[in-house]
Amino acid sequence: MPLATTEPRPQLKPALGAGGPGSGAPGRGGDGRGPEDAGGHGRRVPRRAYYTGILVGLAPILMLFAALASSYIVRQGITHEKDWIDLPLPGLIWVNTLLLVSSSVALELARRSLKRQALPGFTAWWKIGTLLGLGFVAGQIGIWWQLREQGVYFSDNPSHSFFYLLTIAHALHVLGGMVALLYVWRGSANMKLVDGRCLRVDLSSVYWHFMDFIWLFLLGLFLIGR
Amino acid sequence: MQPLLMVVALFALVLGTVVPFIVRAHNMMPNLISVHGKVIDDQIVLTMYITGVIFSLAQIALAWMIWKYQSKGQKATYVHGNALVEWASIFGSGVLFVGLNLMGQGVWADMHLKDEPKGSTEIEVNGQQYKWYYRYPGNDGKFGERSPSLVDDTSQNYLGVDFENDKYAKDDVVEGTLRVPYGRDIVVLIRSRDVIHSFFVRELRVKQDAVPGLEIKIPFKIDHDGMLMFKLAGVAASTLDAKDDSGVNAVKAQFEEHGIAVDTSKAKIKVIETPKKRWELSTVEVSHYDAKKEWTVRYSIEEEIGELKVYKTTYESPCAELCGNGHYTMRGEMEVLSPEEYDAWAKKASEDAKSYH
Amino acid sequence: MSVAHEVDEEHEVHVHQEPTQFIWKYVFSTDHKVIGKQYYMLAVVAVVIGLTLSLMFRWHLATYDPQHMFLSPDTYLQVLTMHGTILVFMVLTTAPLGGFGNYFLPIQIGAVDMAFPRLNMLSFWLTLLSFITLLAAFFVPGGAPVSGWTGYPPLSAINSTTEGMGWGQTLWVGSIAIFCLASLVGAINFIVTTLDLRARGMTLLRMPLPCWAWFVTAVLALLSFAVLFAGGLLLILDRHLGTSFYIPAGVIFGAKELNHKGGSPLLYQHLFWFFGHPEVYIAILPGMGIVSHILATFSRKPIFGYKAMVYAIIAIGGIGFFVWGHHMFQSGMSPYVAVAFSLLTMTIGVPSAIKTFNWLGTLWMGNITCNSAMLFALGFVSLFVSGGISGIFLGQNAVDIYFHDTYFVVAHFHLIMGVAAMFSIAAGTYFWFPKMYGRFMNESLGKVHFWLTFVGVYSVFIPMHLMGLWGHPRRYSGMENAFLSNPFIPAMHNMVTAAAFVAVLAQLIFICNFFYSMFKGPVAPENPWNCTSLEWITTSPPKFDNFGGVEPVVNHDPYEYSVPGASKDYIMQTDPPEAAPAHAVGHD
Repeated sequence: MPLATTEPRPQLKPALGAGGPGSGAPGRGGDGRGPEDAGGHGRRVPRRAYYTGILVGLAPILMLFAALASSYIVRQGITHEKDWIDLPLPGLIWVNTLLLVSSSVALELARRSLKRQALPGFTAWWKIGTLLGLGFVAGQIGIWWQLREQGVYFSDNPSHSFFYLLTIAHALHVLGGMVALLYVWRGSANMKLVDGRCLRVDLSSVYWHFMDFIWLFLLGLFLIGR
Repeated sequence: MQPLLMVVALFALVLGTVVPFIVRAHNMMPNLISVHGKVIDDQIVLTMYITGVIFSLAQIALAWMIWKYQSKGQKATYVHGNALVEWASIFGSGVLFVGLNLMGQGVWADMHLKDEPKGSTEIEVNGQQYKWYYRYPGNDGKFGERSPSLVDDTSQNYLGVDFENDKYAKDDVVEGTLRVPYGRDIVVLIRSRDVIHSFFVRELRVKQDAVPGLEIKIPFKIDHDGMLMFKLAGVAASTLDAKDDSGVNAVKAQFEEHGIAVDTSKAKIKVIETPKKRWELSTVEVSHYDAKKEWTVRYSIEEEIGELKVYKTTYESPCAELCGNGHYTMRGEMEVLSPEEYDAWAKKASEDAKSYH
Repeated sequence: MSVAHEVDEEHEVHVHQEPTQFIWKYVFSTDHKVIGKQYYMLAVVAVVIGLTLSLMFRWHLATYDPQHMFLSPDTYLQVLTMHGTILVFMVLTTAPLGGFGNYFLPIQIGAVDMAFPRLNMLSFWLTLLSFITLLAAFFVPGGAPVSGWTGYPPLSAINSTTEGMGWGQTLWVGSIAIFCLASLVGAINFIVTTLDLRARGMTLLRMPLPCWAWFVTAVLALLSFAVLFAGGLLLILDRHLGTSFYIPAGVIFGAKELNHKGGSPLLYQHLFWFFGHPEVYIAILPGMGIVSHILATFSRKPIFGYKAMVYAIIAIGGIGFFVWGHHMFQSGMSPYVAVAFSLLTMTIGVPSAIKTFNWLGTLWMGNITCNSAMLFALGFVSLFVSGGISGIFLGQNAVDIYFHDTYFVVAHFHLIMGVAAMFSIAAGTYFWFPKMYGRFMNESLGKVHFWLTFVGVYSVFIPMHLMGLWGHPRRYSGMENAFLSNPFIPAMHNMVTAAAFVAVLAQLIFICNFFYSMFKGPVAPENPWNCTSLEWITTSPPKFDNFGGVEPVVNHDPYEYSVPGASKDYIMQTDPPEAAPAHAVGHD
């Protein structure tokens, strides 16, 4: 089915341009629903509310990771007990990082195709992005498995506990984003476009890029202070 | 009707708080025996005066507004605010509050930021559910090693001190009572072996959480003069705690030991005869058991009337951080000794410990 | 109002009719007004339970006898813990924000509903789930937790620490975690609604003060609950998966060393109080907004210093994030950091002083009517001053050495966070009841309720300050103790208990009044108080879509009372621009 697009529009309000167009993701914090199904009364919700919503929704996720990361740093800094054993970072972690970042790039390419009204391009890039994302999750599972093989367990040292905790928390958020990506994939044949943009595409990719950001932040955390 | 009630209520509130809190500001807290505590008490009293004024003014202003501008059909004045009032309240409250706070930082620095004075007597305070144990370094002046794996409650090694192998440990004394000498610098090293407890002695104005995994040092010094007077009167803590005549009689007996004749009545003890000692008291009047369980001795030496506090020697140190069901039973005891008494006790206890181990 | 799938690129258009079936209309409703009432009712149930618990331990303390204790030491602590948790989370966080905020934020800014009504519904049902989980802690083996509403580890992290620390503690943490999710979802909704759904002409600086308060409160909730969630998560892992985030090495229980490796108990305290301090403002800020609104209305005056009030709300919220360490002066935290926290804490006194001045300024030269709503608002101002004053003691690190964990602290936070917030809820209820239910509450009962409560709470908490000065430690269930058996202390406990019974039982009057008036109260007109904000331009109670299909347009500042030369003594925000004489346009 062709794009259910409307006439080209002048431009969206600056309000949405400001924070970067966003993507929503299911997961906590995000709106979690397709834009079409806000309940309520016969009424109009400005589109920018959804962009505001996703940006506001990312704040608690940021706070959650900031809290855990500062706990990590504080605990690492307690030197009077020599009981912080750095965890051997598996090489796979770099492969995963590459997968996650390239999936974001693919989603951006998909969005550009959409802007050019090139639906097949959009669908292809979107699917590639989603698959790369799945690859990341699989890779993370691989890392946990490898560490387990090496005898690194969740509760045997604070350093290890923090590593598992942070990566698992991140992976859960990524899985939430994955649901959104798959939802867009499923509905990619039937999208409401305004000015070459689709709300659910924008919202889910903002969320996804944010997951990249969190991951790079965590990676830096694991590398610093070894 | 309602405005009138409001005015009455707010005035009653101001009177009901200002009287006990401001007028009696100096007498609200248990008596002070530490040197640094003087600064804390002064800061509390100063805060009480300042906040007392703010509190009274604000409540009375509220009452006045309610009374003066109660609806009698008048038209309210259309005012949106006044920049001067806003800025004045910003600067006024800012300077007041921050300034007040800065005044208290000196004593905080003394307790927490400075190195403890050289030659301080070190005593370890150990919390566990629901008991305090105190360790003294013994005659060698050094604490022995300790390890959690050596903890053995059945052989009463609650702290896991390595009595077997560490030569510094052999003369360490572990006791259930905290004994401290007055007039000396003391440092307590506060620790816990299970949950968080808090070491609190009201009269010392010391409170510090005991956190497992941490050792926290708190210095203090017990005021010399107050304790001297106690020594003179020779009143034992146990007798002060008694609430009936037996306590009064015991006190009387102890005064008599010091050559002070005492005339008992229900509420007061009168000293009639002049003792022939250095601290000569021609008359001594001991007021009866009061809220803070301390005794005030009024005396006169050659017509000069004065007042000295008679202190107990034993003080409670209640745990001040919720530590479980027995929290309320977790009370330590602190006994204040003269430096000579303390040295004698510490020497003997250390020797006993060494011979035991 | 455009109601159709018309082509509209600026808006998502949703068509939903008012549901007619009971379950969709009143239970699983997405209508913010119904959700607001649901939150309010949840808070009413919670407050009844929470206050009953408080009477139980007050009775225990008044009748204390070591041989025949009314509550055993562990029951005492369980009741204490649940009292604190229920009131802080299920009452003080839900009623002012979830209850009144949900009901009146959209109406006051001229919106038809919240931005995301289904998320709103989710938020309520998660809160209810959290409440049920919390109550379930009473009924599991070992019973409710005994570690206080702060739940400090290691006490709360190890099952064997003491009786009652089994599944009860786990359910407690789980309940808090669910509550965090609910609050986050709710906060997102509040923020987006305030930012993007305001009616035409409703600029940010034309919002009534409750809207500002709800908005800032939502921002606080958004940033703080995630951190509490993190803290709770680590606690659960320590409890059940053997990790050592909070439990240090060498901890000994049951006379043997536990196999934990170097955690930090202080870490939890930092995470908890990073949330816990903003939580105080989450409880009290909406109250400040509501009280400002009521004071202006019943003084018939514009609020004194509207902009200063807005900035003060923002300042209190902002500084509130940098003062959490004042709960930890004696915890073993770095004493240098304590100095910084202490100074920052004192700066919170500045916006608080501004608010107090401006409330008094609002009353000044006014035309004050003392009805029940106004009495509670005035009581709030008095309590806010009293509670704030004792904060000046506790915020000083040196003074806190003596006061920390004594009854002084208990008295302080109850006055400011508990009772003052409750007064604002009561004030809001008397004020908005006609709008919510289309009927008035009984005024005479309201006044009786006020006086018993006002005198009652002061009689409870002023003596508690005194007990704190004497050095009475908190959370002591027994008094077989040289200090505590001092005859003054039991006498004081008796007096406090008697006052507590008066203050709590007075709430029964309120609850009876509330439910009786809901059905039998005199019918209320649209705008019974001659108030200016948008909720008063619609019917009482408002229709399903709030404004009956009319989109309100705002032309005036929120508190235009007694404008000289105007035809009546108030100008509605939606009145045409010419309602205000040219010379009297609002300005600060």
